[in-house]
Amino acid sequence: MITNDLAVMIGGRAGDGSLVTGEILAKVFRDMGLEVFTIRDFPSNIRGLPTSYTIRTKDRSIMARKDHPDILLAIDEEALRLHGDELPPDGVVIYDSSSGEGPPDFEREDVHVYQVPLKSITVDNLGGARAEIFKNVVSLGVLAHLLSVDVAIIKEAIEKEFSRKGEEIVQKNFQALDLGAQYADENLAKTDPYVLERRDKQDSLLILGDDAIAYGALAAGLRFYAGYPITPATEILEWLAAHMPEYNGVVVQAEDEISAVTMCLGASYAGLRSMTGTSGPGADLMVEAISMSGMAELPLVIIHGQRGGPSTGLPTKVEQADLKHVLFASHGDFPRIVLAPGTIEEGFYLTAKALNLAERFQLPVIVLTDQALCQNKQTIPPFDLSQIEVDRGKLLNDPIEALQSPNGGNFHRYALVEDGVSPRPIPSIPGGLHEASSIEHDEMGYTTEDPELRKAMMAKRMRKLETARPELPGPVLHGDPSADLVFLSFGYPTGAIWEAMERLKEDGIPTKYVQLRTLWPFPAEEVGDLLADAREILVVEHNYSGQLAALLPTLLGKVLPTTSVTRYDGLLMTPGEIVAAAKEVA
Amino acid sequence: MNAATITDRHPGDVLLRRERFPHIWCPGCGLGNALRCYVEAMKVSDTPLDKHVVVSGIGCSGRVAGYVNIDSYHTTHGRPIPFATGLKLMKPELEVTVFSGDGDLITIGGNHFIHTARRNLDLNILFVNNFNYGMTGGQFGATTPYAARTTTTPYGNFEQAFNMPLLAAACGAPFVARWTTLHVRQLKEAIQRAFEVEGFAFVEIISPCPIGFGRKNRFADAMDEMTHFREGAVVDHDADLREVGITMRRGDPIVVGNFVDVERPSYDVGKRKLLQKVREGLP
Repeated sequence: MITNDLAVMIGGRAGDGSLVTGEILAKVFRDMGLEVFTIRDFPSNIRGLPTSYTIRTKDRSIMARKDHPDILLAIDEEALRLHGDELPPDGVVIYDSSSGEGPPDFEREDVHVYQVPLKSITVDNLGGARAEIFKNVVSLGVLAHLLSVDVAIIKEAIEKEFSRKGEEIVQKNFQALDLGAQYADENLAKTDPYVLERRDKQDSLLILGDDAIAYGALAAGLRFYAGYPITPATEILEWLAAHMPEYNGVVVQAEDEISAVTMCLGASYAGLRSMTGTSGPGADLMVEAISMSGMAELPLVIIHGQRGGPSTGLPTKVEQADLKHVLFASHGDFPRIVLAPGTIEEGFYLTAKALNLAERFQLPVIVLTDQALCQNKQTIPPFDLSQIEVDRGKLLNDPIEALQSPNGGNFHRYALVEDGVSPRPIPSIPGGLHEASSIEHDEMGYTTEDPELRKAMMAKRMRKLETARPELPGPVLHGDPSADLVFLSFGYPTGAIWEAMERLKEDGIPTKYVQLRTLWPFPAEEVGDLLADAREILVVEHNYSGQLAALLPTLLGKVLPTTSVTRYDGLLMTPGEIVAAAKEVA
Repeated sequence: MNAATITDRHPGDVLLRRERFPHIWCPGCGLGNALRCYVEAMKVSDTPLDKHVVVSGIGCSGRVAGYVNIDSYHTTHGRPIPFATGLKLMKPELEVTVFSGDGDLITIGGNHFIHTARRNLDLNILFVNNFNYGMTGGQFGATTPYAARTTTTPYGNFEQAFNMPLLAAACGAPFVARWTTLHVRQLKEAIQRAFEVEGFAFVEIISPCPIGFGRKNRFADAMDEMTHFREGAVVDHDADLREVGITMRRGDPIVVGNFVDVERPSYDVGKRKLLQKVREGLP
């Protein structure tokens, strides 16, 4: 028996309802008190191409693709052909046998095949060919029976999902579910080892990464969001478009990313918190505004959800190949901060943090994330809003008297202050009159080419990084602090590394993991200390060239023994491949 | 005839940053007139001066942000409209004016222009058209007439120019006017009207550029281009906008006027209407 540890893959076609089925299943597992991580592997297509949705569940927090799916719910033959070989021995196939023939070209003897005439059951009982869409739900009934899941829990989830479509649809789905369970009860003999047991109900949130980011921003006082639709950041735009009006916030879908990010700077100048979100191709267009944010000292937050590149690349797949981009893309020298959440939960808190940092230090802050974190769902503890503090730094919202320059000149918006952060009045504040500018300027913001002033302004801006440094999220140490085999990574691989470390520990190989949360300014001292005694450092990242591994000597100021562990085929890294890589150098 | 009086004061002093002068513009440039009309319009506008904000881009016109004594922002090339959009949406009580030239506003920034006009965002667009990129030394842009010579069209401009009033009207701008820098009174009044209009108010200001454009196009002397404006200008508020393209050929007219002044719900009004429906639970 394998209890409470399984991955169900629903294989179907884009637009055939398998996504909704997966969403329902994920909620059912969550409602059973289990932890969930979902993996949408979808094509750049809305209708027709093969797609798969995998729901992992376990009694411990998870955030990685399992080495293999355990149960394949094959909505069509293609799914079986594509994924049948991925199943482990003792794996399960639920297959639509309506055509009367067995699964084509499937000769594995070591997996349990349950043949269910899904289509026939649906068409015969639920209203003809048009009802075929319900066969997904029939298959859920079958699955529920096999895994000993209480059908009532599924009905609750179905009701929540479909109630807005009317009672008739809800009832049809109930009927489909019952038909599946009934068929399984009467015709199938359970031979596979998988079961699920309900745990004490945990108060957990099943949330999409993008939604967590959007919510984190809103919780931290976001009032303006401008974006342009792009995978995997579109859901941030959608979520905020739905929720911001309630808070007098404004969401604009701009004509392009140049406009979106520049609008954010305008809103920032107006004294309100602004943010944009994008992926690689859009981030390219935003580079000029990143420089402008640096020069004009306007707060800017960009959520950068990486996907497969270069160019249009693999638009719906995971990658972490924009690391060098976010660290270095720009013209000119200016300070910036780059943060990298490693989990969906961190996506919430670090986005909120980013808005504070941007405003306190008046510079661009990029939150570097990836498709795996943006577009998958995870169960996490409910957000603790008491942890969210809004710190607006040196923003001046009230009339200014004392600060008015005595000689009749205007407000010294770019005063050459010790910590580099000059007070920032919002426009139309009495006494705060000033020019803000993308061009080199004097303390009042007026254009200047004076060499000494230029040097002083450049130094002032760059000083802000040192002022900010103590407040940046440091690297997190996971695992055995004394281990000399060390993982180094950021973003999605975090979850896969955790699982790999557990398995390595069981095999007697102690490891630790240094998770980077601030990528720039690089915390060279802290990371250097954590890596000091490492015999070997496995740098894990989703890109071809090992960007972090290659940069490490420069970032750290010293050369350490590293092995690059990479993946760039568009699929999520698994714990198994990290274990294998570690064992090679252990 | 009285002798000329020399004064160290300017009628627009209260709204100009005197310490920033002399300005960088060439002798014969029209930007000074355009700026003065903007300042004069602000002085008589109903909006208090501290609620006026100007956003400019890059190029000769971009310097306006540094010369006007109101809150101002000098943005990057082509981006004053998106910047102003963010500002206006978050501070609707401000009277936000974009002061920009042809290279900035409609060549590199063309996409922002058409979409913001379509959205009918409540901005005032003061568009100084001098038919070339002045600050970089006289290259052609989206308003350079066919066959005109510039440093990058040594054999004459192969491309056709935008007819800006037609474009703005087609994109939905509820207010569209065009005057030359000789028409200071009409221009000032058009700018005043632009402040009042709720929506995307577009004022094209035809301006001489003797150094960048004139020298290569038979308007070498500062007066030549102005003379052409004076002789060629035809006031026609009801002109067929399809016919108001500018050739800058001697003898061809420059049609000016307040072409469009209609009511069209602004972005803000449209948004409020829909959100109100949601709040009241209407379908």
